[in-house]
Amino acid sequence: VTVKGQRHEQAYSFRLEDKGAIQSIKFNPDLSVLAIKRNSNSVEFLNFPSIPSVPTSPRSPSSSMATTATILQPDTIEYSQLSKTKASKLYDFNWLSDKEIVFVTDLSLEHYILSAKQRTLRQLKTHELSNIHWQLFSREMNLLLISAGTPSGNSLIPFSFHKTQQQQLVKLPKFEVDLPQVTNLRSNSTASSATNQSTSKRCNELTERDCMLANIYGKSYLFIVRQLFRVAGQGSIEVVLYQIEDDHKPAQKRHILRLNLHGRCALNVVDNLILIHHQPTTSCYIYDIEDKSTSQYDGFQTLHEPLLSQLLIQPVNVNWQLLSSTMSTAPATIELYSSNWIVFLPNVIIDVKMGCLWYLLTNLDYLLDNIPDRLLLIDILLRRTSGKASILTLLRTLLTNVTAPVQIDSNNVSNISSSHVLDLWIEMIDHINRVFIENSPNRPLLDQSDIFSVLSLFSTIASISATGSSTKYHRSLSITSNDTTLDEHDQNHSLKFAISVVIEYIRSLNDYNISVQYFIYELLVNLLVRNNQFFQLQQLIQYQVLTDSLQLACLLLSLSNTQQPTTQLALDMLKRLTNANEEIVEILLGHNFIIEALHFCIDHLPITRTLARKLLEAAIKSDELLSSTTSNQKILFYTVYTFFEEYFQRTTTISALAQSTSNNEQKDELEMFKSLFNLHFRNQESDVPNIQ
Amino acid sequence: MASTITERISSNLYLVEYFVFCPLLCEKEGQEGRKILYYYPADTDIDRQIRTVGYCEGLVKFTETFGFEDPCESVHFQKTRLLFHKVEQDICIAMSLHVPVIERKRDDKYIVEYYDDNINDRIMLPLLKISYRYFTLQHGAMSSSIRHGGVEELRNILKQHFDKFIQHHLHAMIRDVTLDTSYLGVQFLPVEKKLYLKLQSILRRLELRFSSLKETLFLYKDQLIWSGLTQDDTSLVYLFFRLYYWPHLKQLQTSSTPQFLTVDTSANPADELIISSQATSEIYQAFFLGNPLTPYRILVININLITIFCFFHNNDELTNDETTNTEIVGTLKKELDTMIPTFEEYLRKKYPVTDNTVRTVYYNKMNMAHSSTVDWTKEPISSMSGIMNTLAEDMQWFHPSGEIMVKRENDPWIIAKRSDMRELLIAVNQRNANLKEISDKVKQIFTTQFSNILLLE
Repeated sequence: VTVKGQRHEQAYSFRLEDKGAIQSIKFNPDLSVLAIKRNSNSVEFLNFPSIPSVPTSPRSPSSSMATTATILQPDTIEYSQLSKTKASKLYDFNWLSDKEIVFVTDLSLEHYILSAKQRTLRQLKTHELSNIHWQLFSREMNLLLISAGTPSGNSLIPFSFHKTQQQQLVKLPKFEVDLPQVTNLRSNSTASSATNQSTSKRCNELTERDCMLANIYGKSYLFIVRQLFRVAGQGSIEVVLYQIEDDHKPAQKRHILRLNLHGRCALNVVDNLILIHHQPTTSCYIYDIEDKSTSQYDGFQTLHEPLLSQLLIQPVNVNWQLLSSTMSTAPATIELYSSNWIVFLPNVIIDVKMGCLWYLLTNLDYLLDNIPDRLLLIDILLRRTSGKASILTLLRTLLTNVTAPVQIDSNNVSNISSSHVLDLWIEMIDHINRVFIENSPNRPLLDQSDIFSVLSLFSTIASISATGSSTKYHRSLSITSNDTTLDEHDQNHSLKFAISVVIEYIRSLNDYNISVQYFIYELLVNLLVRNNQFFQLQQLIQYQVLTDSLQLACLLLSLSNTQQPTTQLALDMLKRLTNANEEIVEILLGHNFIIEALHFCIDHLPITRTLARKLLEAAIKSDELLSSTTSNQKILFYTVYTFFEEYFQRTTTISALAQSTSNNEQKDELEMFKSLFNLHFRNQESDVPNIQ
Repeated sequence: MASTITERISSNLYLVEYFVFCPLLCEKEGQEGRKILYYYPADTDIDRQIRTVGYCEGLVKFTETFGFEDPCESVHFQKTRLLFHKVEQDICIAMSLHVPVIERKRDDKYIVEYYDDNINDRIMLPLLKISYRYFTLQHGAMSSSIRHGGVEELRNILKQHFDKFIQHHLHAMIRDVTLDTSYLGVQFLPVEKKLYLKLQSILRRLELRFSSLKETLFLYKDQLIWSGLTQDDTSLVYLFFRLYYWPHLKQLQTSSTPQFLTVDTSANPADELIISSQATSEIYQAFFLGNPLTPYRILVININLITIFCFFHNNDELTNDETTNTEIVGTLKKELDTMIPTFEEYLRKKYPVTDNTVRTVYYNKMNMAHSSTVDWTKEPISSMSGIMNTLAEDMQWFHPSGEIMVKRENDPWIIAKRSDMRELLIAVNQRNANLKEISDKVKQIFTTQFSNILLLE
């Protein structure tokens, strides 16, 4: 026996003794116990040694193809459990967890806990039910659905259980499913061929084959495939979705998927999309139950039309990728939608004849070219777990339409105006941010660095304009000068567009109260500077569109020059930050504002000798600068020195005497200045009495 | 009682002459009259015109030889004050002002005294400069007029423009001049970030939708909220708005139907503003903006209390159709209607009535932001304005920062503070307060009203 699972990379194989035909065989979730059903009232168990853990790497086709089956050595001793209700017939059994198992018989559900070490099972509870027809089980959804009671099988009882803790099955309210109204017998036979093995007798019943359980958008649904025949020979398929809720209300009919075709079909659920494979036409129809544009709410249920029609599963081509073939040498051609296919929810397709098992995946990039409505498209992509990459591609192509219109490929909607693009961008970015802030599972979350990766395409316009003067010169040699002015106009236009796009993004982030990260601002500032819009930058900062930050203040400082004194903006910003006082002092000193820096220090910083030294050094430097123009008498140095001299004299008498040892070292820091001061001023002062 | 009336004001400050001249136009002796491009009053004797202009020219030439950083721009005479300003290469404008006269009674005779101190160059020069910029806004540079239509053409344009401008506005501007008007600053209306971004969004979408629409300027009442123009152009258009549009707009009944505004500067002040609700092609005006001055077609839309200036490229013919206008208005109206009450709220917040004893005048040279809580018409002590003007002039010498506190008998305390590019004048009406108390009060004003900016000390 070879075992292969979705969660486990490795394939395992082992041997079993032949003890009669195996009706059903199931591993528990951690693969330590194998349950085998060989007759209709007991289950045998077989312990397996723990499997060496394989690091769960992201699945990729190459790795799954390469793995060779690991051979497992099962425990030699089998142990078994008989169904408690002797008279009943054991249909099937399900592992609820590693240690819990439930038997489904025609009269009851039997819930056992298993102890692998002791090789025994202990019964927890038995739910007596009459007339059980069939069961559906989904461990992912924590749901066991039992068809019991009425002979037509449309009376259903869901049981929910907790995967990890609760050792009990909770019975949820039972509900009935309406059966398709059969009009005549002839069409019955068509229907029976559709549901394959069903006979005309079963046509009026709800059978296991027509029902499936799946989770869509975090809600549990029972899918029922119904063939409808209004006119003989024609018909349509309906898939009815019943939502099974936890809150003790009977399940409700919520959605109906319509397909105007008849014949054999199968369902897959991939990434919350429902795929109906229609075998006679060998094509796929995709439904998204949250999409508004293809649906219609009639007051009770929502009716859905396919979002995309007549798609093909293409194992080699762009459409759909099929992975994980168990045979290393797959035949070159795979018959798609063959009658040998068995389809399991959520996304498994097995070709019985070829012995292949595939996982169905969606290729979302395909949608980019096939849904022209960009807003509809972004909504669809935003509901896909792996939609991020496609969304980024979508946004990038959208913006490129304006920034580099030459690069538009012919398939795209060309010549869309920049204002139209901006309108789309506004809507899209709002949707993206809404999804981001809601932070619901299985949705692509595009954070600011993701959007920045798209926006960064603007940095190329910025750089073109930087070298614009040289290219203009070359162009004017070859082409008429009229062209270059036009280019400049285009340049301005695309810069303006870029600025608008970034501002819109900031606006949207603000609307959702997401704090904007610095690199977005940096891009905006650079774009504004490239477009010579300093005054606009000032206004944006004035109105706090650009949130204060140390980085932004530094950027503004670096932009400062005589025409554009952004230093003031930076200083104000640093002051508002309240924790950047040292930086303020540095900037003031850098501008030779010595006295201002001193005043600021007195009010805002603890006065230390290191600070004094810094200010004195700056004062000396500044005095030198001033002395070149005016007859400066080292006035700044004098002022700063006398302040500190007085300050330290005052403070040392109080506090510093106690720690004079450590102060000695620090005092040396100012020794140089002391001698300098004495040289320049004390001498003169001492001269005064002499003169007098 | 008669002895108390020892002085009377016999004449106030007024404009005596205003002239524009270009020395280059006089090539030979005897042709001095040619360099005069415009002279007010027009009935001045030509010899007197030539003398005044020649005098002015001589001063410009003479002072240039000293190579001062700032050119000489004013001369103080006993009876008049001459202010001049070189506006373009070899073109100067000048005005002379009558110095106020006070007659003092002494020994039964009136002695005439000229009050030179009552004219402040720092306050008056901006008027001269802005008068030139108003001209260029509507007519472009003077030198380019000469290039296109010759000197006579320029003389005609100057005459048409300045005769009306001096008659209708300049006299009043000189009479009503205050410290606040001299800044030529812009009053911004601070609004909250989200609202501001919403407005940005509306205007930017509009600009992208109409590709010939270059920039927009957005005002609520007389407060600027957004300008896409450069700083200089912004202040010019803003002041032009304050001069020609706002006096009429503020008297209008607020109507929610969009109106198009045009200004006819040659009409009488009462009929200057033409209001039209029809989106015809006549609602466009030309403005000369940028450096070098280039013509733009402007469309001014008024919706409720909002005024929007739209600047179009002049070379684009597509804009000149009614559907565009209606479309622009339609788009704007839909989106703006909801914002108006919010703007009003922010306007209230801008001038909170907190301390009735404190008046402030704030100006930031960097962004030309200016705000004032002084109502010059209501101030009881006229001498206060004189001190403020003088202090404002003195502040120019502070670099980068400085502070003066002044108190005269019967006057409020006046504090002038400069911090790099910012100027701040505070009048505190606590007459009995001492210097220490005022110093604390000023500190308190800084920490409450100006907490978000760094004021150097």
